[in-house]
Amino acid sequence: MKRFILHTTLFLTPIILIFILLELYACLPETTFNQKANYINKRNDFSTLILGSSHNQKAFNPEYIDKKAVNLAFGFQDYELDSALFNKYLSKLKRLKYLVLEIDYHSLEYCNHPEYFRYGWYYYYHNINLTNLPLYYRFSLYISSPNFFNKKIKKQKLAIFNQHINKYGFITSNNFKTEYFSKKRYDLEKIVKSAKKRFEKKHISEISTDNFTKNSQILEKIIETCVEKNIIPILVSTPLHKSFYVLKNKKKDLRRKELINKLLLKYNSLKYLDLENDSRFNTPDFSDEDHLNVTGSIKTTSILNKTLNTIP
Amino acid sequence: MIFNSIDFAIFLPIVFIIYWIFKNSLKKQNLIIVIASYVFYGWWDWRFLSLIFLSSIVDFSIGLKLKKENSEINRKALLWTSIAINLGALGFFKYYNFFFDNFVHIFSFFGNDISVNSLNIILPVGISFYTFQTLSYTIDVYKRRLEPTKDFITFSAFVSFFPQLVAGPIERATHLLPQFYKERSFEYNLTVDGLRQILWGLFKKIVIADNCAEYANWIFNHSDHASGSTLILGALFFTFQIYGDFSGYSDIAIGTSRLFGFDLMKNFAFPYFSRDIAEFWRRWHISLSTWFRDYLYIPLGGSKGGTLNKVKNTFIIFIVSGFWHGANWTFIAWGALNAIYFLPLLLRNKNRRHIEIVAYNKSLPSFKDLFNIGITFSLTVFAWVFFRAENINHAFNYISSIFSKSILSIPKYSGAHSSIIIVIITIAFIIIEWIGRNEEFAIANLGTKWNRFFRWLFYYILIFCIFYFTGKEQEFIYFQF
Repeated sequence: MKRFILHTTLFLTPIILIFILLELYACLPETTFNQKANYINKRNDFSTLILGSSHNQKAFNPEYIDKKAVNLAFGFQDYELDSALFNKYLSKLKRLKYLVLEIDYHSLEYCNHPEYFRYGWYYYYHNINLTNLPLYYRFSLYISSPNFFNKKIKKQKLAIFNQHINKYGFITSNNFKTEYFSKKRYDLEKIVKSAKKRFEKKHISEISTDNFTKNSQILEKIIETCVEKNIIPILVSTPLHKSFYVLKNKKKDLRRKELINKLLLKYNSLKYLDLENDSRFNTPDFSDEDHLNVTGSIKTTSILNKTLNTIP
Repeated sequence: MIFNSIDFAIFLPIVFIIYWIFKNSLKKQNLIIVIASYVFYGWWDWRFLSLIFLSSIVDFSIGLKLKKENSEINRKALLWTSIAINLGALGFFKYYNFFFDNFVHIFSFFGNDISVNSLNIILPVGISFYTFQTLSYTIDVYKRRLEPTKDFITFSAFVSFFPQLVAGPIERATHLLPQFYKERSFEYNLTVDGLRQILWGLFKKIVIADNCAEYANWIFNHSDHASGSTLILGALFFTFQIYGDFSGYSDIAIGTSRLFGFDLMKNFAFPYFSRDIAEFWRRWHISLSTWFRDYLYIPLGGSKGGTLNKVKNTFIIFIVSGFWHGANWTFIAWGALNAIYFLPLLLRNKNRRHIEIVAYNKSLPSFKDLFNIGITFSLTVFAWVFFRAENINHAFNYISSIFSKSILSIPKYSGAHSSIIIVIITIAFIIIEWIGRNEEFAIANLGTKWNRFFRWLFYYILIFCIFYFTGKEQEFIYFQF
């Protein structure tokens, strides 16, 4: 037995070392996700919390907000994750006064698959476990999504780590590898041509009532909690490029607007900031059809800041 | 819990350490196996532990009663009670909806529409495996080939033994149960051998099966628009997927049992090197084939009697074997097709020509052997199309699309470029399997005489491949059976 233990230990040592290196590779570099998590975990004096998907993530830079704000919005973050984050930090953020929520074209239609790989990240960084993930995911980021990190290693694509991120976890440089409009040199004709293709690929799906109903209920529950806790909920529809705006499905759009109106009537304190078709936003403000770039984010943040400052 | 999961990587060493701490107490070791096995199975769905417990208690009690009972009528009644309970549970969970849907179809065909829905039944993982294992116990006790055990813990350990609980090998009570009575001592060589077999099983499952599955799934899901050459490639990918998947699982199961001092029966013996279908069936899923041989084919009369009897028994055993795999006509068609392949050999008394492995003690096969391997392999690949297809129509459409002009075109499928590396690794895998075909498993002896540096380097390369080629995790195919 002693011989077996000795040989097993010797054999496993390099494997354990490699695993530690992989874990370090996964969790050490500054990313927008871990920066945001670290930022909110270090402080508890925020008065503004921003949630939502990549639209809000790219739209609001807390650096330009007068009030102490944190933006936890992230790509593919659905209302269920928003709600979990809000409930998680509600007791910690005693001074929280404003909650900014996204209500874009896709927001009510989208729910993550139970096997969505980033659930592990929320467990690791925020201690939020929505899908019964095993306990060891809490202690290892690499184990939570090995495929993601293996792919990164294979492709040696470290772009996400090379982006300039400020202390709020906001990406402050336009990453030209992923900025779709810059590749088209902001040429409107080319953009309109390709927008339809991208829209069909990403946004055309059957109109399902399941996701809409589920998301509406979660959203209303968040608003109810805000009202109970004297927090002002602010719904935001972020700017859309006109090439995208004209392609929206009318039925989906109508039921979203009906819900917004219903909520505004029901909750007096609820505010709505509709920037979806705002003429202040032009092609050079976008990185693609439905995401703003750094220039665009300065504009949206300034609009949100003004709104926040006008609320007593 | 599945073998290729972090949960199992944590679970196994913990059970291993606790188990060998109690090396001086056989009873405690058996109890640890029962607890570990119930945790292992309950990890998937604890509600179905009741089925295993029920199966254990029924067959344990019936076994004891069979020992005391002298009346042949009462003994038969006891045997049929066990068969009814075990096959009843299997029939309900696995086949209820199949028979129900077909019943509704037949009625609809004659103009009587029945508007009732089939039940939403969850198939308990491994039910086909442990049902057959417990049945073998009762049948062997009934036939007086085995003394029934009086120790319920030992019997429960035999029924629920976690390495082979959910996907075999289906052990015979006469082989496995006595091992639970014997004191087990830790043996370095046996344990290292077990670890080596686990490693090879993981390689087969994660590198070969899971990666081939990605391409096979894509091609089978897009078969309507695929060229003949692409469809052939899809069938080939599935051929290696199912082999890597199931033989990989068996290797992990056998290797894991070795860590605990148990010897499970060999389940795969390099079946794709078979020179005829009879040999293939002696090398593929051996524990199931021999189960059907011993408990169905021979009681039916086997190959004794006239030609008609031989034909009947061959079709029965192959069709039942197909149906065992799943409640779908595709599996029945797959079984029937194999019966058609097998019959000419049986009728001409040529079904036992190839007992030894091909080119035994030689490096390369003769031209004749190579030709025969090629023919047998092609027939097997063809039959796998039925096994993999969603339904009979899909299988026939798939096959008819193969035999078109596009058979000579260049295959086109999603990820074709990146699949080249998987094709190269699969070829390397076949070479390793060929080199190790005389052994218990392909790398049983590979590198054992090298110095430690090179031997370990070889194992590290396998581990690296397992991590590097971890694709989209696919469930073990045989879990659904």
